[in-house]
Amino acid sequence: METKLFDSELKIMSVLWREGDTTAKRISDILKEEVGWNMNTTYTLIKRCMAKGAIERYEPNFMCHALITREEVQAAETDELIDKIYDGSVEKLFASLLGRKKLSKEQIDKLKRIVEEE
Amino acid sequence: MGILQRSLVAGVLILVIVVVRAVFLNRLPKRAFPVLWGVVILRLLLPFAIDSSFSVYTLLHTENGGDTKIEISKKPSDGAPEVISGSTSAVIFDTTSQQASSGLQGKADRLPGLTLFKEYEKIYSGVWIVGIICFAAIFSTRYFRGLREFRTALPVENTFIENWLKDKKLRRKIVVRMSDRITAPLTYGLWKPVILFPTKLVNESSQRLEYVLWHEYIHIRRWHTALKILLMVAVCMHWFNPLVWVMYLLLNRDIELSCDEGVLQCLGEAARKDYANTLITMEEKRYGHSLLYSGFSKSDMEQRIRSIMKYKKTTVISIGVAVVIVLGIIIVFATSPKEKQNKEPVSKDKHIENVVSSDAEEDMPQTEPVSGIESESQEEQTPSSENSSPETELGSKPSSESDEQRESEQPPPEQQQEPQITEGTQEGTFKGFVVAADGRTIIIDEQKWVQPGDEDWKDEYYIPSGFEVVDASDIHASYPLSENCKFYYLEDHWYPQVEITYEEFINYQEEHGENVLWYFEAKDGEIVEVGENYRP
Repeated sequence: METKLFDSELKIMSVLWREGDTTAKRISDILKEEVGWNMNTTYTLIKRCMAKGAIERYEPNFMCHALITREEVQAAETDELIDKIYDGSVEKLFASLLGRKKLSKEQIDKLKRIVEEE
Repeated sequence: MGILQRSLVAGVLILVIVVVRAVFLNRLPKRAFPVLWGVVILRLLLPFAIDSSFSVYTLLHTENGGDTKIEISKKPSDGAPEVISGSTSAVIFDTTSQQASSGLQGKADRLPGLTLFKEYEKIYSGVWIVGIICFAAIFSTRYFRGLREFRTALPVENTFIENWLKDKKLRRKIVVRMSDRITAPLTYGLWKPVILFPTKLVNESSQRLEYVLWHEYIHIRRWHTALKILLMVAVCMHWFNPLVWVMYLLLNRDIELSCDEGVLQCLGEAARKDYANTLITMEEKRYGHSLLYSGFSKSDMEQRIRSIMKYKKTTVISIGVAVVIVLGIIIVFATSPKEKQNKEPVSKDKHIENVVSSDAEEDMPQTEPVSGIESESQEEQTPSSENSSPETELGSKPSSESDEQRESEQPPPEQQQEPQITEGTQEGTFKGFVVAADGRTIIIDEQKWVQPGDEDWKDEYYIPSGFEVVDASDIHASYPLSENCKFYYLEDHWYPQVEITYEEFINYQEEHGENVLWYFEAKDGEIVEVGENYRP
């Protein structure tokens, strides 16, 4: 999947990631609750996701299957962020994360553990 | 009112507003301008009109104030070219028909030229409709595509925004959402207004958010969405009129200016610099580079910033001036000419004087009532004071006020010298006004065409029209109506000629009588045909 997903499409994906494979109807019901989209809007977005290769449709009942995972999207976005804003340097992003807020002791320990494991 | 006529009237109004705007834009509350434009749009869209004696068109004396499809030669002022005439082909046919009608006998003066125009009318209408469909298609696809995109916006969780919304008292509930598909904040929705933020903007300072919220809120409160929709409809229908496109451009600008002004009214003069800076920064982020090199919106933005910096708290005086100007423009330019009121048939002489002298404007020489070739009748006329009194009224002040005066201060008919009624002796075809009629007889005040070059032509007559209708004699002739006398009138006083019954003829005469010239065909002392004579 080459093209970037917009926020609205990511919202659709998030439903699929949460619920697993679901019918389009169910996605639209859920989103009506959560963000107030009407059925046409949701269906249009699902079709756009399909065009972008993020969702696959199979019958019966317009079942939707996510073709990319949340982690894939996160990685892609992070890469783009690093390239765009942090001059391609992961360290700068990392430093920025550390410098932003006062991390609690548990969070720092957790981070240390992750680094150790790498 | 026909579409062309409305378009023209609106065109004049647009020009007026453009001029006023050029002079007054920074000195009047900007709120006034969308109102003025709104009036123009109403004028363009509504088929009926409000009459007013103060209308500039009464001043310019259109005879057919009401229902003409095509504007036939509005009198130009001071010999200016016929800029205001409806369609050039109508004007051409107009003058030729005048010349022709003075030569033609009897039948309603129709030229092959006029019939030709009627044929082309079908083509013109067809083109017009195709144009409407095209523009409607363009506008609606753009609009609905936009709407579709906006609907994919996500809700916003922002305490500042929520608090800001709380104390806003508006019947309609406002919803705020965000979308990564737009680059600038906007609002849409008539009954359920939605303010859309670009996602990136939601994390900006509260000050920025406040400015944006206020700006969009004012759009909503002042129903700008509705105005823009009406504007689109008006442009669709009047796409052929370039002035309407000018209005399209200017109205969009004025709507933004009006909102900027509204923001500063709410937040105070001190906020000018901050607000202006916010706008600039937002535009920069939009285009991704310094505004010095920006493209098409540069001049708009420039004007907005200028207006913002020039903003001063609106004084009562400027509001008052604005109201006066707006009302003045509306009354003078946006209303229709008042149709001449029906007067008693006895005051026909007065009518002639009015017709003859109402054509006059301030610079035109006053016309005298003419009674015919006989010198005795001239003497008869001159001593009478009643006849000359409307003249003096007119002589002193031919303006729109005197127009009204003329209509209301007519000396009552009783003072009028009763013209003699004799048995008519004309044979063949002649023209005249209908004084009275019962089932059997008709009383006619005979008139005749006079042209430059005729012996009866007086230099005081209104020359550019090329003709004049003049009292042939100052007696009224009575003729018996033949059993199967035919009656005709001209639709819209123009075309086509339609046969009517005697009753319809009487009704028509009662309604329009003062303005209608008839031709009569007499045979063996009886009137066998009566028809409306075309009269430009």
